[in-house]
Amino acid sequence: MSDKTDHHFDTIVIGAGMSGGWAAKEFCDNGLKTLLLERGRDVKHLTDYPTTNMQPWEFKHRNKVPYEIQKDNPVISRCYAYNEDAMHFFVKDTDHEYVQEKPFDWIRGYQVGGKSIMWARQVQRWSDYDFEGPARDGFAVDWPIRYKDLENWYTYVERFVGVSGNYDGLDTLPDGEFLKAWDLNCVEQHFQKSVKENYKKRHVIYGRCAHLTESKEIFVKQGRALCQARNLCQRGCPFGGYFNANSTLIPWAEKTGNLTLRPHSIVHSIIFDEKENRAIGVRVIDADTKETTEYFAKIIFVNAATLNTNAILLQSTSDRFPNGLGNDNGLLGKYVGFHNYRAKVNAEYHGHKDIRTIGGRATSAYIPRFRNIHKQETNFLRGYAAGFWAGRNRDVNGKGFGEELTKNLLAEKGFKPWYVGSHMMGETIPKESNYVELDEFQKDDYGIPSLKISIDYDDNDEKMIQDYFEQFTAMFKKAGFTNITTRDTKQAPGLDIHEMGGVRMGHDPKTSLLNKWNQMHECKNVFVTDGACMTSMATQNPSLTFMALTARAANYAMDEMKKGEL
Amino acid sequence: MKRRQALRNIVVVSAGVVIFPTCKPTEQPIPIPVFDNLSIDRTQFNLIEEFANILLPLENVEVSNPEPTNEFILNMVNDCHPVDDCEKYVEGLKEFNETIQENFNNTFTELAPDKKLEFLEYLSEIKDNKNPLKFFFDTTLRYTKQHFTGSDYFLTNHLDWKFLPGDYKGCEPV
Repeated sequence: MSDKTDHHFDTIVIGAGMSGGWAAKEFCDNGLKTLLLERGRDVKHLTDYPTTNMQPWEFKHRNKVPYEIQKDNPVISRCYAYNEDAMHFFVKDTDHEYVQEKPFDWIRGYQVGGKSIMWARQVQRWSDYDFEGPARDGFAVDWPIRYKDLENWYTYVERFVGVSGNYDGLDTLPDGEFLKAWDLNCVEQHFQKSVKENYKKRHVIYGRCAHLTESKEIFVKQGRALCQARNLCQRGCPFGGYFNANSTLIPWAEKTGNLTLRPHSIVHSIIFDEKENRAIGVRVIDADTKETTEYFAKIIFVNAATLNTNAILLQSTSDRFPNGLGNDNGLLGKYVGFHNYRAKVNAEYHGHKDIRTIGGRATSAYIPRFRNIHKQETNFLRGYAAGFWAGRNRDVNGKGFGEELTKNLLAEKGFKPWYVGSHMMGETIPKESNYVELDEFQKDDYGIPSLKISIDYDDNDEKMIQDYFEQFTAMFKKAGFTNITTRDTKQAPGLDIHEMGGVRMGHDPKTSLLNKWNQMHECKNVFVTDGACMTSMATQNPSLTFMALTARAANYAMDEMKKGEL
Repeated sequence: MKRRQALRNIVVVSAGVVIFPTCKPTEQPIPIPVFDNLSIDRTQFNLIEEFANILLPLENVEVSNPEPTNEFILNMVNDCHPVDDCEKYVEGLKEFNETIQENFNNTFTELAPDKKLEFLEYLSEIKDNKNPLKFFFDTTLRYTKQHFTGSDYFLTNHLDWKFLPGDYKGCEPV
């Protein structure tokens, strides 16, 4: 064991992804010596994006994942972004196994930057219709915060990461600090107009995304340039055109001189000191040597990504907390939710024949939730948002062989009809029966119990899918789209990559784990600000909210330190 | 029966075509790539390139890919298909050779160009999906097309593709 003084910091942050990166940045900016622990390898911006400048024809398998890898790793192979160009950023099924009591596709990125390297970059604010949901509709517990508590922190985060968007003036999706938007194309605008004419409370807007479409001093300071609309973000961007922790938060924190980044550090548990009645540090296993080390700090932020944060807290047992840190009420690991991404609607549009698109765009259109906003009006609780897109491909004739095939392929090409598509992003209801726990029998390579996951859809989700199909089929018909098809992918939970909860926020220590500052009710110097803290799921892509909650909680923790409370 | 008749017709028409082998000085051959799941010799490797060039002749098109077509096809079969498919592909390749040899007492290389195409017509009409010869034909055609349509030349000149678009315009005239 190393000397305790060698391993002393002001703060320890577990997890160097998007939310952990924010915590580290806030602490380092304010002069706190911060240890940032990451179980995976380091990924340096620019130097560790091996495929970023590869042309499509330079990939040996033209971006297809080889068969044997797919066969051995069925879960990760189902992820839309798991292709030859970015597969090195995803955790293989065989790398860190877990127990699926019910089917769950757990998509993970174990590296500095976490999943922020490969994320879809959609960033929408929550509204009070979301924060008030559990209380109004009687599920879960009431959120201990409202939009006004987070509003300024959303702004704070948006200014730093850069968000491209339009000012839409919607109460369901508050506006933020936006850089200019790219176009919606003509067919998307056509759909926007059709929806506006036919539905009072439904809106088709530009999908707000974390991309730099304008240069500002803050982005220059970060060393980031404008997005070039390559749509190759999952490889890591050589321009820093989209936000990830690697290009922005971590180098920023490193420049302060206050950051100690320690990759290959698997957190075994948080150390609780009975005499001091507080957490005093973190027990870490070196991923390479398997040597155990302890690090100590006044404040610990747990940002290991939703389910691994749950796992670390469950693993952090002591005489005081035999069932996991802060888990007096037995609710740790329970009330996990996710987003229902099973439903898709596709169609064709034969109008706008004389129009095409040119170039690329890193986002699509977005339809904020319109169901059950002001009152309950359907046979299911809550609602869904949806993505929407339209595009047009060249009409390539690949028929025949020999000279005929050559002639067909080289012929002048017109355009196919427009394709249009939508996918549902449904709010699920967090339930006690959707939970994670440590498996009694299976352990990982480091002797840590594997996580057992038991999460499923319910009848509310099934009803929501049917409603989405009906409503979007009708909306598509009204817009003149044809050949409309609906598809239920039946995919398992997890493939949405929006799992949340298990360490939920709330007013009451009897029914929640965290208070309104993301602080553990029963262990005040431990904060959880990644997806694990979420009381309910809403419909918005959640990362922006994780970042805002983290910045807010980190600044609260520093204020409390100054007051001598922590 | 249909197959035998089709081949008989080709044999009759192609009789009399004689190709004299050329003599070359002895050279040290460049080793062919190794494919773990495919037992392929140099002759077969070369035959696949020749076959691909007949399936998609590109004499007047400048296509620069990192690898020749036969290497791409075999990379894809070897790495992106189950072992059963790899065995089926090699079996189909052998049948391809044997069928021509048995019926023409000749090799694919030595068939006259029009006969090659007639033979390909015959292959394209095989309906039985379990037939290795059909699998060999379909797979080689599929990856030959992909090798070309995924090339710099095709993406840039035929699909408006740009590595750095820089912008997006959603309402441009066709």
